[in-house]
Order: sequence, then structure tokens, then C-alpha cells
Amino acid sequence: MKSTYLARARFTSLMFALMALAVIGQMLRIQYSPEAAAFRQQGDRYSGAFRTFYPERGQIYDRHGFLLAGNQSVYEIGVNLQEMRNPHSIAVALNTTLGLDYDTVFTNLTAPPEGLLYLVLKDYVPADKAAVLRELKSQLNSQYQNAGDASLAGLDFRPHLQRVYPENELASNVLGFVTLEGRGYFGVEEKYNDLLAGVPVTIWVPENPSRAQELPRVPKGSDLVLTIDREVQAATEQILRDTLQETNAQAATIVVMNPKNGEILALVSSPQMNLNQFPDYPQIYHNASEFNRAIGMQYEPGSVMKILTMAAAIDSGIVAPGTTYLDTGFYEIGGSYVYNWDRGAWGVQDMIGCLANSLNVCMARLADIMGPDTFYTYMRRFGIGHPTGIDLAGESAGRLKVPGDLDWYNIDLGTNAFGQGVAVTPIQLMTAASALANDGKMVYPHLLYAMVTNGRQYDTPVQTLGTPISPQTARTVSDMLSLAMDRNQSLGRVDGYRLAGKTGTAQIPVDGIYQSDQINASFIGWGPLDDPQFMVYVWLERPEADWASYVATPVFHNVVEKLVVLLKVPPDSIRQQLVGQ
Amino acid sequence: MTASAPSRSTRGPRRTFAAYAEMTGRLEAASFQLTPLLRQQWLVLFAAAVLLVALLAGLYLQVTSAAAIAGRDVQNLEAAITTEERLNADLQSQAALTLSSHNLAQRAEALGFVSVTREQMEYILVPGYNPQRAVHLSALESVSPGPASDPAYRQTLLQWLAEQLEKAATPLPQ
Repeated sequence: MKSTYLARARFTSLMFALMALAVIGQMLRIQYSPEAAAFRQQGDRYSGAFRTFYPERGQIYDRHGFLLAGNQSVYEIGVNLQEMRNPHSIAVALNTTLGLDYDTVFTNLTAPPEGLLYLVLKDYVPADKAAVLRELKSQLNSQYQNAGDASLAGLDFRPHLQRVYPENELASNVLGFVTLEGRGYFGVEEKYNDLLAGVPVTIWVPENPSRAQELPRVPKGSDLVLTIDREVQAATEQILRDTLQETNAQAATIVVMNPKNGEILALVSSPQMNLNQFPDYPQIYHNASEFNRAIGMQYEPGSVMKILTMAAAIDSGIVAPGTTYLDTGFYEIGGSYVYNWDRGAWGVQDMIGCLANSLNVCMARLADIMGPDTFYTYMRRFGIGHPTGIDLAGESAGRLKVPGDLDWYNIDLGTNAFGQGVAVTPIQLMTAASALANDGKMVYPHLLYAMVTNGRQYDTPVQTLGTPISPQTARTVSDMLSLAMDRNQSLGRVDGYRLAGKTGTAQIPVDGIYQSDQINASFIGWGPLDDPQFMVYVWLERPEADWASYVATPVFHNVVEKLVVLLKVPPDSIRQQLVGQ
Repeated sequence: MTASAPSRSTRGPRRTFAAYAEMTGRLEAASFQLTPLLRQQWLVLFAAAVLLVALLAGLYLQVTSAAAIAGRDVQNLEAAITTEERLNADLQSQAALTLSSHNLAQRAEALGFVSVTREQMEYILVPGYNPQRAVHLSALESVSPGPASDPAYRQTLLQWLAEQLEKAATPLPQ
């Protein structure tokens, strides 16, 4: 009897042992089967995710540290479909708070694409509206818990940063803007996009907290300090707006630069735009070059070009300020005649009179005496026909026809001398004129004062673009221009300050014919003469006036009136006293 | 033992089972032969082994859970850092908006201030003050990148050639 039980017990234990072996065998088989590998792979896919960390876009400051472009939180609002309890409530809430169409939201929530777990309903929602929704969600959550009750369960708020311009329109032509995709367009935002945007980092982030590791610190993009002075910029913009109203000009541009180092203190051109409403861009601008006329639009400068011709003539030694000539009212060059602006004969004139009365005949004569080789060599040295390299996106090169070009004729030598048949941008002419204000050294115009990267500030060094004329010539021509302003009692003069400047009235060619009732009025000037601290360029397109001296020169005067206060430039007499102390 | 091969094969499992039974029987007999003291030692050893395994499993569990908690803390801290950075950016933008040129001008006007004119300005000499000095945003000293090294030549090849020709053309002193 005992042996029977023993046999059964042995048999049972044997069976269990075999079953255990079978289970272990099966476990091992499943563990190493191809299906298990596929499942493991599938599991890995959901154990974490590759996430790209975009650095915070660098901020942009003016030269005194005022923020011109920063970042602010906005929200992506979406729904976790698995957690959603009441699509009707969500649709109503989004309709009333964000103005989204109820039917569209409700349909998307109730019939989402198959397999979708998270549905984005709206992005770039301002923080205040997101806060309203969040509060509503919280209230509903605390008041109603039953199925079918109003509920915003599942509504999710994902914050991220968006570009913001606290000054709205201020310096819009300089700054440019950043689109929703995070790419900079125009101005500094485009030119320094790579620096500002920083380098995104993509890494694998596990969901499992026991596998969590410290995320790499993604350094924010570089901060930029611009040479722009916010107060000068605001004052200049106000003057521009007033000018547009008073002169009914089609467009206007004003640039203020420090001629000693090329720092742009203010730059404005019409139209401007509120950078926070960048989608309005196509309604405001017809083409990209209009965004910043100071660098993007080229035009015939007219008589402001005469300062370069005179500088070339004096530097090459063919004339001196006291050199006289007999102005007969016309000059033959290249088989054609050049006339003065009033078609009058001005008799005996010295070179100061030539500038003061803006005589075309005088300039054509000087260019003719210099000859094309010398004249165009000087123009090239002044950088006419070449981009200045200013650190803004969209600079135009201008156009200077030279002997050898198919469209160059002998008459061009004469007309180019007084600014016809040549196309420049305001910034090009300012760069060229900086040689006159800066002892012959032409400076590189720029907007970047410094860059702050990894906590260290890198200042932009002063760069010169060349020395087209001697220091003596520069001082002589500046002096002549100042005397010329005095002689014709220019409206550009400011009491107590000795300034140098020149007007430019250029008729606008339409279908190749110059129109007397359509002009580009401009003025370039700088001061104080013995220690220039600002250079101002004014360009008005098609103002309701015949001469720049009536419309552009007063604008220069108004800008200088503001500049001497804002830049704290004492009158010459006080400055000399202070220097003497 | 003279049976043919097929009959041997049918009896094979039976013989194996017999061998297995014999072995277990022997083991049982042997165990029944162990002294009580020896049997207790086996029990103690077995219990110690089980305890050791349980201890190791517990330690493993404790370390794993501690790692998970630390990991969750890291994730929370990283989220907090991101939130703080975003908050900083928000506050900076809000401050800039409040201090914007337009707002300041409006507030100044509301308070009765007017813009100073050129004629109203008074100047005093403050040694070392430079009104045009720009802001310094970094605590570290600023860096002004200069040329990597001094240029080896201070004139172009053409300038040098012209100079040499000029020298050559100069008449020798008599």
C-alpha cells in the first residue's frame, strides 16, 4: 500500500518537474523569439522620444541696454483625446475665448483621425487667454465631477517662446522680424539669424524616470547690442512722420551715423510696420527693397554727389578752394551740353561758390579736367557702385557706369559729376562722405555694437574701408561746405554749431525723361565741423516741392536740433571752453 | 536480455522510470538516515539562502526606486528651470514694454514734463564722463577682437614695386 502511494507520489513529482521544465523552456523560447524582438523594439519606441531643444532666441538691445526685441510665452492649446470627457464644453470654451469655430472644433474632437492621441487646436495663444481657459478648466473641474457634466478635462497647455518687440514700430526698418517658424526676415533679425537663433540640440529623452539623465544645457542664442540710440531713433522717427505730413512726400528716409566709427545711431525709412504684426508685411510693402530704403533702394542722388566730385578734384590737385572759373551757363562734354539747374550763367565763381550755388557746369568741367580715369578711380575709392557691407540684410549695390561699359558714354562723365546717371543708396553716400568728416578715412557703417555670448561681451572693432582722400582734402572740403552753407544762408544751419552739408535735388526720370515736377530731395550734412559726432542723411521721394533746399534742408536742421540735445553735444564755443579747461 | 531491439525500446522508459524510482528511494532512505541535527542544519542553510535572495531582491528594489525618485526629481527640476527661464523672458519683455520709449514719453507728458530744447541745455565738465558710452551687458570684461597678428608687410606688392622703380629712377648724387 505504502509502495503504491510512493509510486504515485514519484509520478506526480516527475510530472511537475517536467511541466516546470516545459514552462522554463517556453519562457526561454518566447524571450528569444523574433516576435519578442519586435515587441521589444515597439516598447523602446514608446519608452522615450527624440526631442529637439530650441535655444531661447537672443535678445536685441539698443546701445543703452533698452530691449528692442525679446521673447514672451505663448501657448499651444491641444486636447489629450484619451482624457477628454466633454467635447462640447471644449468647443464652447474655445469658441468664446479664442474665437475658434465651434463646429470645426467639435467635429475635430469627436471624429479625430484614427490613432491620434493628441490634437492641436490652436498655437501662439497669448498668455492671458490661456490663463482664462486654464482658470475655467480648474473651476469646472472643482464644480462638476459626474459623467456628462461640463468639463475641460483633456485640454492641454504647452508653453513656448515667441518673438516680441516691446517698441512696436520703433526701429522696425533696422530690426526686421521673426516669423512663427522662428526664422528672421530683413534687418538684423535676418543678418544675424544664426547667431540669434543659437544651435538646437536633439537628444533621446527616456520616459522611465530611473533612466532619466540630466538634459544638456542648450545655450541661448547670442544677445546683440546695437549701435542704435533709442531716443535718437524715436526723435528721428517723429521728425520723419512730421515731414511726410508736411511735404506730402511719397516716402522718406533719415539716417544718423557717427562718421568717426560708422555706428548707425538712427535709421528710419517709410513706411514702417509694427513688428508684432508681421503678417501685415505684404499689405505694407510691395517689394523687399522698400523695407529699408536706406540700404535697399538706389536712386540718382543729384547734387549731393558734388561733394565727392569736389573732393576728388581737390585731392587730385587740379583746383583749390580759391580757384576761379567763368561760368557761362553751359559746358560741352561728350558731344552734348550740360546746363546749370536754373539754366543761368553765374559768371566768375570760385570753388566755394560752385558748391554754394550747386553749379552743374562747374562739376562737369572739373570731371572733364580730371578725365575719366582719375574721376572714376576716385568714385571707386569712395565705394560708389559697391555695397558697403553694412550688417543688414538686403543691401543694394547701386550702379556706377564706367568707361568700357556698353551703356557708358562720354557725356556720363559730366552728368555723373553732379549725380545724374549714377545710382546710389543713402548708406553708400554716407559711407563715402564719412571720408570727408573723418580726416579722409572712410568707415564701415554698422549696427552691431557688441555681441554677448556665453556671458562674455564682444565689442565690434572700428573698421575703415579705405582712405580715398588725404586728411587735408577732407578738412578743406568740409570747410568749403560749411562756408557754402553760410554763403547761401542754408536753412540747415543750427545756431552755435558749425556744420557742413549739401543739398541734392534730382529730377526723377520716367521712361527716360527727367520730370521737373517729380524730384528726389536729399541733404547730407555733419558736424560739429572741428570734431564731427554725427552725420545726417535725409532723402524725400517726390515731395510737393521743387527744391531740396526747401524741404530736405529743414529736416536736417530739425534732426540736428534734436541730436545736439540727445547726444549732449555742446555748442562750439562751450565745447572749446570745456576742452580748454 | 535476449529480447529483440523493438521490445527493448518499449521497455526503455519503464527501465528509466525504475532507475529513477530506485534513486529517489535511495535518497529517501539516506535522508531518513540523517541525524536530526544534520537535518536542522540543512533547514537553516536553506532558510539562510532564501533570506539572502530576499535581501538582495529588496536591496535591488530599494536602489531602483531611489534611482527612479532621483530621476523624477531631475525631470521636475529641468521643467522648473525651463519654466523659470520662460518667466524671466516674460518679465524682461513686460519691463521693456512698460519702459518703452512711447510709454515713457506719455507718462512724462502726463506728469507735466516737456522735452528740453537746445537753448535750455547747460553743460558742465565731468571728467571721465562719456555720454556716448554704450551699455555693458556682461559681468565679464568685454573683448575687442583685434588682428590675429601684426601684418608682415605694410605695403602691397605693387606699392613696393613702384617704390623700387622710383628709387631706381632717382638720379645718383654727383
